[in-house]
Amino acid sequence: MNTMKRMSIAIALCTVAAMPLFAQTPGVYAVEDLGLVDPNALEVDVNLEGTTLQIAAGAMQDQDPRLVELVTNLSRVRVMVGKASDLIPAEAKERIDGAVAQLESRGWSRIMRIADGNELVNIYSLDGGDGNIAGLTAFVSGEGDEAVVVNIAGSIDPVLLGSVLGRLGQLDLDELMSAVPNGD
Amino acid sequence: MSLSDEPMTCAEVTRRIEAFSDGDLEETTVRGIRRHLDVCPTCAEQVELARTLTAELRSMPKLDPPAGLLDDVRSAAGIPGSPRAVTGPDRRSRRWLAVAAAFAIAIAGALLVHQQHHRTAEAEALRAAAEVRLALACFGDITRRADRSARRQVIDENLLPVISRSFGLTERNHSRSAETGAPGNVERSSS
Repeated sequence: MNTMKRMSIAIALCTVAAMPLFAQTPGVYAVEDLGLVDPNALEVDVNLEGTTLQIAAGAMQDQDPRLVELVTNLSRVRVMVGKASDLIPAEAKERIDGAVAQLESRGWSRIMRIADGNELVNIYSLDGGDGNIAGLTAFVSGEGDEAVVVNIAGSIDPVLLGSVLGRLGQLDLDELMSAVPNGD
Repeated sequence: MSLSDEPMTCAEVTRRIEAFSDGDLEETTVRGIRRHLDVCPTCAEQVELARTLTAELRSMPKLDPPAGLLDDVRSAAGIPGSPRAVTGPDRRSRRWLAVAAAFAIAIAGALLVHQQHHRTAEAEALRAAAEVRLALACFGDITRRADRSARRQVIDENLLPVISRSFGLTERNHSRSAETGAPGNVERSSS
């Protein structure tokens, strides 16, 4: 790791010390509490918050600057992908309906709701009031299939996000998954 | 469960590097560490560094007791007849050598610990960076899948004319959209 990257990580750590408590960030939504994904059969389990995200941004200095800028302004990234939990369809629907009602009552707006066969996709966003998005929440559920829950919070520039997602979309998910070093 | 029954973590190995290098550990623990070292080049490098350091220290000249030590002890104990210890530059230099050796050991130990901490922090940063990329890619994957699904439904259910009318688009516009496959956005809702 070069000196520049080390300095970036050090600066990120110093910056974090002065940051507000992210627990109060409005874009945070506890998608993991929905219980849509079986916690014992997770393929992807990412749970990063303020400090770690700033460190991650510091470690990305030699990568796409748009990705670095996006990550620098994030306060939480929570993604769970895995086997859908053993909820009966009625219970799963009840939980999703409850989450949707909760999100909408908190000012979140629906971006997409797609029912495709067994699969139901819900994507919601929370307006940050400054042209940016304060939070993105998505949940994908399907009876007996894979389930996905996502919550991304921070100050998200939608144009920047689109650009980064477009670039990441060219990469293979399995390769990105295998690029994550195994924890010790 | 003994340490040899399951793979050790980097932290567990790091705590035992010194004892491992000195050969002070039980055989079961040694086996656990060796299994970890087979798969962890970072810890293997740390162990190698510790072994080199130990070897270097062992190769240093052994310190003999200062020439006047015995006389000083006799004198302090009040044993009569003991000649006054011979003092001089030789004794002083040996004392400084002992201090320097102790200092070198302390510095080397501190450097070893610092280096290990630094590497752990770097590894965690790189892991977090990879996880962020994966998480964003997962979200992108959801939006693309949903978008494709929406487009398919619009086309399959022939909803394009209905949507176009509701957006005030002309027949010509939505015909062109159908050709380019661009109507995905019309499925997006802001309600």
